[in-house]
Amino acid sequence: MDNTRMPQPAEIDGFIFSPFGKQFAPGKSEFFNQRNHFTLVWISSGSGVLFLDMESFAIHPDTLYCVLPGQLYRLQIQGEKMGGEIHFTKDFISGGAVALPKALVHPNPTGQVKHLECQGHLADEIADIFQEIALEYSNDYPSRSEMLHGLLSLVISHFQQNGFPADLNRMASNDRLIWIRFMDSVESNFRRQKQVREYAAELAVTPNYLTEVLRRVSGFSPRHHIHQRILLEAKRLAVSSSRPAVEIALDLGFDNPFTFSKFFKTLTGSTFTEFRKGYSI
Amino acid sequence: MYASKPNIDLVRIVRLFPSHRISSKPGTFNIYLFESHRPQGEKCLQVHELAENNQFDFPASQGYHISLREELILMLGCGHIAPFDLCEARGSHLILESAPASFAKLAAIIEKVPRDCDLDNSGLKARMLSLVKLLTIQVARHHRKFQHLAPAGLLPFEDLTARFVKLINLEIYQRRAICEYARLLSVSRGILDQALQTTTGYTANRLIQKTLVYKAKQAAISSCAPMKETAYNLGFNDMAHFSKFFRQNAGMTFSTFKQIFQNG
Repeated sequence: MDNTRMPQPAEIDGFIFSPFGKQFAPGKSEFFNQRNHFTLVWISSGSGVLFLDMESFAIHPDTLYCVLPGQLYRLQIQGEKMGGEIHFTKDFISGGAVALPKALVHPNPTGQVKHLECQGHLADEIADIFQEIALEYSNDYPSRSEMLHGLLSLVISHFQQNGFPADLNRMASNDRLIWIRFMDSVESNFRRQKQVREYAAELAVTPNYLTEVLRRVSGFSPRHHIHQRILLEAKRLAVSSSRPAVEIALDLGFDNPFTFSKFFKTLTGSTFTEFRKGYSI
Repeated sequence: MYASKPNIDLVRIVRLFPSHRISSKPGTFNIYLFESHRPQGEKCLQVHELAENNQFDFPASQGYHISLREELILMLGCGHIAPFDLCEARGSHLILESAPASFAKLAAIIEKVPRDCDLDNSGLKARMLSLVKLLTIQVARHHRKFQHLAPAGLLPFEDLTARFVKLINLEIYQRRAICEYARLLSVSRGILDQALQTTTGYTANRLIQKTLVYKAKQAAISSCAPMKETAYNLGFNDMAHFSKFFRQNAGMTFSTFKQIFQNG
């Protein structure tokens, strides 16, 4: 996708805005798999399909979608498109030491797409903010990146106001802590660390206790979560790249490609090649 | 979680009516937005940083008074933007004229900021913070524009003050005697004192102290550095001394301060 729609004043570290314009070639689409970027998609007119981690969601106008880092996504929009995409990194929004806004904490990135339907007043406001972002991004006013940061936080605060993640608040605080830390740890270590024992040691709890908490919180064992995370990455790589299975297996930390194919077949019921063929475009 | 979390007003917004008496607290930035100003009847925007409890009668028409705590500016990451930065000679009154269109824009932002917001509601708090950030940057941009129009030549005392403030704002602070600063600036101690007194109203020592507190607050809000590191960077060799210094000047301990203002 060509992002060079207008002459940009300067690059901002960790922030990219691309408005949907006429240059946006219809039908032409690629997969994005950005490891570090959050993406906010705002569409004020037009409809289409958002393909997110092997699943498709219909896109409605006046809706804000949030794609988390690592999620594989593809956007297909028909009709006259209005709106834009913002890609930003965690560092951009949190500014170093300050914690990530609660709305963007994602203990379970495999969940459904985060979206916010806006009506009337709210839709107008978000559309205004996106216009303002477009204006700021394409001009070189003083304190440009601070301004963009402010505008972006304003958009995100709407996510927060509309009450998610709600289920996180209902948990007991210790369970929540373990759940979030475990999922964070899986997110960053799943390629090399596959034993529940190691994760438990990292959190300074026993494997049995970790299993107990995770079963209570999510209904699944830690082993399941680790496997699902590896599988998800395998699927993402299968769909978004044409690398051979052997290479993907090595990338995911399998010493032996046969173990990987067996793992894939056991969890999904189909072989890796079959799966890939099913998604080839 | 924090049982003893004191209730702190980060931002206060008051709608002003004609001949309203304005009072402001120390340690806050005060932005006044007037729909018309008496001499010319123009729209007008002012920013003040006030040292002491002050009251004035502005010959104003309707408008807004927004008072922002110094900590809030740091929380928003706007601590380096004039006129909210430290290099600016503090306490000065800046009068900025603004065009009607930009006045309406500022007023629109102000109207959106949630009033009396309950800080436990993280969504509302985030909204409040980001709106105030937008407002702050807009005000700073007007300030820039106005500065551009203002005569460039600084008075010699102001120049000296600015150079002194720059000197005490170096990245890692080393404790120095005042006469040493005077020597670095090639003036006598008496002249330096006089310059600081007339332009800022503070003595050199008080100004250094304020800078240190400001930098300590900045470190507490925007970095994860522990108190020890902060103390060392600011030239304190004794932790207990720093701890006491911070508590006396900021009104709370370093860790409480960190807990309250680090936006979690």
